[in-house]
Amino acid sequence: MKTVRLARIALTVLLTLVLSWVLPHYFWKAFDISIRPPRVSYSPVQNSFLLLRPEAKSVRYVDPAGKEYTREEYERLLPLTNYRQLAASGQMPDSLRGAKLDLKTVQLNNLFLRVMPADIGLPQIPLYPLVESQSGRVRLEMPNDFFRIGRRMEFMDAATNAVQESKSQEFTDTLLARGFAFPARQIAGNPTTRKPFDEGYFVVDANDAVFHIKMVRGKPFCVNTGIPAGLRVRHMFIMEMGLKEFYGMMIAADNSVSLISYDSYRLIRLPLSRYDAATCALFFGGDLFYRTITVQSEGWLETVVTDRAYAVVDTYQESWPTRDESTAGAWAASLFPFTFHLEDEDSALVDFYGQCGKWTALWGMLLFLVLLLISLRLRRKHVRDHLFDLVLVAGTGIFGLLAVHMIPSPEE
Amino acid sequence: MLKAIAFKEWLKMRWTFLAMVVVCIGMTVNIALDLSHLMTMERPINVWSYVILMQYPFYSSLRYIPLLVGCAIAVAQFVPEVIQSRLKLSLHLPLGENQVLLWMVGYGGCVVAGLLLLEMLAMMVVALAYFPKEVMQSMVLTMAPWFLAGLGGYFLTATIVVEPRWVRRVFLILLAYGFLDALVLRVAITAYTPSLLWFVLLTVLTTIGVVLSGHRFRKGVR
Repeated sequence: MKTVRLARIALTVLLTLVLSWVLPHYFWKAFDISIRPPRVSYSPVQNSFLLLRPEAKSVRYVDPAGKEYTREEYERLLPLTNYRQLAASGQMPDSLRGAKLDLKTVQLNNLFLRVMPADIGLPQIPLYPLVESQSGRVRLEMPNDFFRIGRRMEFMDAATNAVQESKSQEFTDTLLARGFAFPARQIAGNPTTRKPFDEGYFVVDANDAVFHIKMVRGKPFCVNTGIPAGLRVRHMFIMEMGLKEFYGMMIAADNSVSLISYDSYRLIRLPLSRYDAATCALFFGGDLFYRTITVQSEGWLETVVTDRAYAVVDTYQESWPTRDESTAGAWAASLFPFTFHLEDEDSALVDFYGQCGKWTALWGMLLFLVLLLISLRLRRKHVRDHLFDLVLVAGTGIFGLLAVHMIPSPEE
Repeated sequence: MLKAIAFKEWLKMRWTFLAMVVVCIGMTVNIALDLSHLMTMERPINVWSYVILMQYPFYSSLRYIPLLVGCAIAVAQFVPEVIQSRLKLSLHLPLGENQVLLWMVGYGGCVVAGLLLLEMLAMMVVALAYFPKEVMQSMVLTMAPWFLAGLGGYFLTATIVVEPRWVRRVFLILLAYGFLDALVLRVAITAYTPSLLWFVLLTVLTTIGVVLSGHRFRKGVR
């Protein structure tokens, strides 16, 4: 009988847990609300913010004061981001803020980088192709091997699936000579041939020093960037851009965000105060005159506009009610004392992401406990024979109540 | 006595087991042939890029195979017992009724685990034939929850089949669906790494469920 009881407890506990992610999942499938944050831009024409507000069936173009614009007006106020449309309709201005505008310059200066929370810690297979960065060809070409940086730098040939000994030794020797400490902690690059040129990889070594590694005419290129090891790199995004202002973006352990500039790897720290890599999306936009950096999280966004020297010009903030603050959210928080979700929009990983209900959930739990007592009474059961059920429902509310009724008790 | 039970279980499941062996061999050979064909038709580096950079899971056709293996063997083992109420005879053997049942699912669970383990080893060999060890490691981590679903599927199917009342069976099916579905989500490669150990612990909870169903079966609940 003891084993039978144990079996029942195991199944009930499992069902309670399964319900704690299945029920909220279907609850939100039924009652989810759409939250559409605005897109914030900065007009170099009138030196002010402009907002694109997506609504259920249309899009509104407004400024922070609430003044409405037509789509055409909005595009004319943002000529650098909408240059293709304006050029096509013959409305592109010849000059702006004293600078002559030609499409090539505008295109070259337009930058866009996006870092989502799920991008950080994205599962990867730690093997990377090292493209020849000065082949003399117009297009970049994929090499025939992938490298890893463990106890040494090793190149694996794809055709034979074996280590290329001489190349591996040459690169390992160069890295050692430059002071690289094996193994690599992080390897960041842009492993594609669809880019204008190749800058190789930025690699964090075992001592947290950051090295720049690439292949130039078949030979290893490796320099210590001098980026302070004390910063402790959390993540780097490398992206080759024709403007050649910076190699990419670096997020440190303290959530500070810097650009790694072409000026001997000097770090340009972005003026952000509320950024948290685990929960915030980061949008970095650049044009001929300004940098527009937006940090967006659940319920708020903050946009900072800087000049080309990264001095703050203007800031904009906005907040909106979150899903948890909606009516459905209030119901969920009272109904469920806690919930799990296995997939999270801020991560690519499957985990037990837990969330506690509000204190109002205590009333819900009391209600479900009373329901259990009524159910026991109706079935003419003794409470002392169902202590486990009582404890489970007291601790898990609706999940436990459903579970103890779905899994039969041995006495039944 | 235990040896005799094991032999009886084997007699019940041998054809299904053989069918599952054929399925596993077929799937593995198919994946190996696909890879070798790709490697011949494409440049090997492009296949590597596809698998390593684009994270194409060349083994994704195996997602539901462990689940199939687990469920099929549980059905082969317990449906004949239930249909002719033979289980009642087994439960009258001079062993504790729970002991008999636990021995039955223990034996079946080992058979399922053994077959799945061999399948995993075969896939590791296939992966290592064409790719560096990093790709094989990511494959193992990606497939681990699917194989766990096979084991959980076995124990939960046994529990469902032995349960005598249809209403309860439906509830158990809901439990099984909710739990097993969580193990075969379509997510990024190696996405289960942080939660795998928790899922192993939850799978342990499914192992003795059949004892509850067996108890109710013996009592003649209708």
